[in-house]
Amino acid sequence: MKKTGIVFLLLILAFLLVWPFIGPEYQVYLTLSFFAYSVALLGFNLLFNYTGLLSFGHALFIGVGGYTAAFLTSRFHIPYMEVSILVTILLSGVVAILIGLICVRYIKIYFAMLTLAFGMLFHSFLMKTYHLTGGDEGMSVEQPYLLGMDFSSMDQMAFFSGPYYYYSLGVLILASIAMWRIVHSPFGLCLTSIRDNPDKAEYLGIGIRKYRLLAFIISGCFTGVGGVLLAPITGHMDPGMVFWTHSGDMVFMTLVGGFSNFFGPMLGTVIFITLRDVISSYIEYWRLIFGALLAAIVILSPGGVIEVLTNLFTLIRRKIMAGENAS
Amino acid sequence: MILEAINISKYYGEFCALKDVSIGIDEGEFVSVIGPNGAGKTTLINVLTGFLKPDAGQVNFRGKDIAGKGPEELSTMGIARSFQLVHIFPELSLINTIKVAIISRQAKGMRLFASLARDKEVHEQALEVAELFGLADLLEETAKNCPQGIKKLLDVASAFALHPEIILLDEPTSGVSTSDKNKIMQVLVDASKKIGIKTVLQVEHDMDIVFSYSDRIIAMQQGKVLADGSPAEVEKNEEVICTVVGQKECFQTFNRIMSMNREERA
Amino acid sequence: MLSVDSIDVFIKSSRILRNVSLKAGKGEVVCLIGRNGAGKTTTLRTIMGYLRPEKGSVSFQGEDITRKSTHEISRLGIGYAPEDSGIFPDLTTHENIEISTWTKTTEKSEEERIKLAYKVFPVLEGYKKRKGTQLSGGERKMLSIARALALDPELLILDEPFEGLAPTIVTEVARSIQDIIKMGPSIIISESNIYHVPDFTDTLYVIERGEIIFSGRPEEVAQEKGILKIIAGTA
Repeated sequence: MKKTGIVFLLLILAFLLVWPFIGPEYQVYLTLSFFAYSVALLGFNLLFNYTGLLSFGHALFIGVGGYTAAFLTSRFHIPYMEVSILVTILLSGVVAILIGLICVRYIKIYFAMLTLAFGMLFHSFLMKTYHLTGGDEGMSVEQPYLLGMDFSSMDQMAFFSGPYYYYSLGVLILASIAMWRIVHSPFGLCLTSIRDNPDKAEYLGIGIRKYRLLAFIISGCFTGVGGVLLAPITGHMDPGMVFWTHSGDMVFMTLVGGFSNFFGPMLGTVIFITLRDVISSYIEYWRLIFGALLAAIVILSPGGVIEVLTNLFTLIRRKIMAGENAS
Repeated sequence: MILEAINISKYYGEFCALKDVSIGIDEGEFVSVIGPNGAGKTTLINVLTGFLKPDAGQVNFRGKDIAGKGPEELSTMGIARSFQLVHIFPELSLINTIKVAIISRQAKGMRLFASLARDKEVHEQALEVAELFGLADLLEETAKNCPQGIKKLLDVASAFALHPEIILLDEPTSGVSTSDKNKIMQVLVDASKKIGIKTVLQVEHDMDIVFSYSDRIIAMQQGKVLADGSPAEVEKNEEVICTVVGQKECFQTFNRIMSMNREERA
Repeated sequence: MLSVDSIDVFIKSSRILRNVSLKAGKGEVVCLIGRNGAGKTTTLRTIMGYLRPEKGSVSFQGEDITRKSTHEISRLGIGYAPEDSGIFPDLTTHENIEISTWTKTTEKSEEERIKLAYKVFPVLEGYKKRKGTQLSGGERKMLSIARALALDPELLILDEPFEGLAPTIVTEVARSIQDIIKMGPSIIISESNIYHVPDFTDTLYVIERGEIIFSGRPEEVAQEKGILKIIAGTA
């Protein structure tokens, strides 16, 4: 990464660290969804950008994470967040292997449709197994222990803007570092080569199905962890969490932010969460506005908002440099 | 014999692209396959490299039957190829394209958390290959932005980086301008010597190149082997001259000009 | 007929063509020769309206076509066979040829135009029902020219028609082009191989680094050792 990039990231990190102290309570609470979705999208974008596979059923993994947290905290009374995360990684991995073995044989629209189908299958499974999952009423998620510490004596809002905020931020940082290493590893380069030209990759000895499957599994695990982070914020899991529109939201965030940049999807979650909050307080049909926005971005700047920002940044820098040279 | 095809046939629907073809390549040979378009040359390469399954017959690599093995497995066994229409990774830089091959050869592809940038071994070997092919000045260039000739070289370079035992080149100089054809061939020959690839099989239309570089020439027509022998033998085969090499009737102006120039220089 | 007047063409921010001018009179055969990346394909694509010149103009039969879109230009009577053939992979050989007759009606009937295409490339008649994907490189090249011909064009643009063809097939295609010449259209051929400049070329243009550095009759270039050296590597 370039120096300016690192400086930029550190500035954002510093801001996030002090944000609970300076920001309004409600806005700090919204930031939690940003952390959760950002982790989920790290997984989604490993498939979408780096492997060239568009999953249209990725909310399934948010569901795996969310329902795991719900089961463990409210059904089995195991409130430890770390247990939820570990079990989710395990379960997401297993689910991803089963679905992936079928899906990664296909690419493009066929892959998207298959993942969509599995997402919907999981949705109806949650709806039908009323005795197990509460059907359409869903399940509640209890406040988790963080690092073995019980915060139930704390006011809920205080818990969210205090311990849970920093815990989520910590998970996001760890997940980002892990994903950064993955996409910059030999494995990551092989994935990109498969995306660009699978025939050629195969001739260079890259087993494309094996790589795609592993990418799918890793992707599912990250998105699952995102789901675990999301569960306590909503306090409740219902089948709507795995409905295809939720998968669509993930695609939307990624496209708006900019999929070809590592940090693009994160910017997308900020835009999505903020806009949804603002617009839905004025009109009921916030999806209408979102649709128009997405269309505008795809037409005007296919690289997403982050591309607009980076272009702007280089432009300004060039101007400054030109100014220096002139003087 | 390193690579051998025994009585292979291949059909596309009712159309027979290869009919009972048998050829053998010895270690250390430079073999050219020539023939009119549609003679089955590319199909032959596709079958030999596992991209297509023959409908009948057997393909042996070092005496072992390799039928049914795909390109991935064959590439790890030591068979590599380049393509008639260039196959590159459009969004990857030149150096990364070569690195893909080296990662594959060193079986490092499943290293999930290792830093590629800090892997000196991969980097140095990629650099070595890039230098052999004269690409060292363009390492960070994105493949899709390179001119056709560079793409062609990159396609071949990444195949060479696998350090295969045999390499199959499908029209290595097609689409390359006259002035660059010999340059490319010289680069290929030098690179294979340095890397230690002893055996080369190429499909090529430029007869000057075919006759000046080959140890052996296999001429094909309509899915069959028409002739198989040394350049001197094939040159005397009138059927081959008639169906493959052809007369230059429509192109006399420049053939005359160029040969006059050559004589002048001599 | 066709006149390209001092065009400059940019792709992204780099200038690919500089002040390129080129003329093809009625029934004339023009050959544009240059090395890879010299700007041959860019010139042809600009004529076809895929690219817009920053400066200069292109006119066809007295009409300015600089700002026209590709399909309009094609319907004015310019047939284009691109370097990569650009045939429709899922259509059969016959359908690929037929499609030209639907987009533009001319004095000749559809049957007549299709027949003509097969007459010039008899080999294709045997592959009528095969899909584009099942054709070899050379067959695709022929089909691409046949398809452009079935448009019944006034001007035929062939981007490297001999590339990737075996010597005998090169001769065969060259003969077919000779047959086409007799039917009267003007022809522009681009070529990177000096040995593939056909004898029936009337005017030769040499392009290097985006500029035309020579134009004249093919025999005249023989005197220009410097230019020969550029296109052939050795002189």
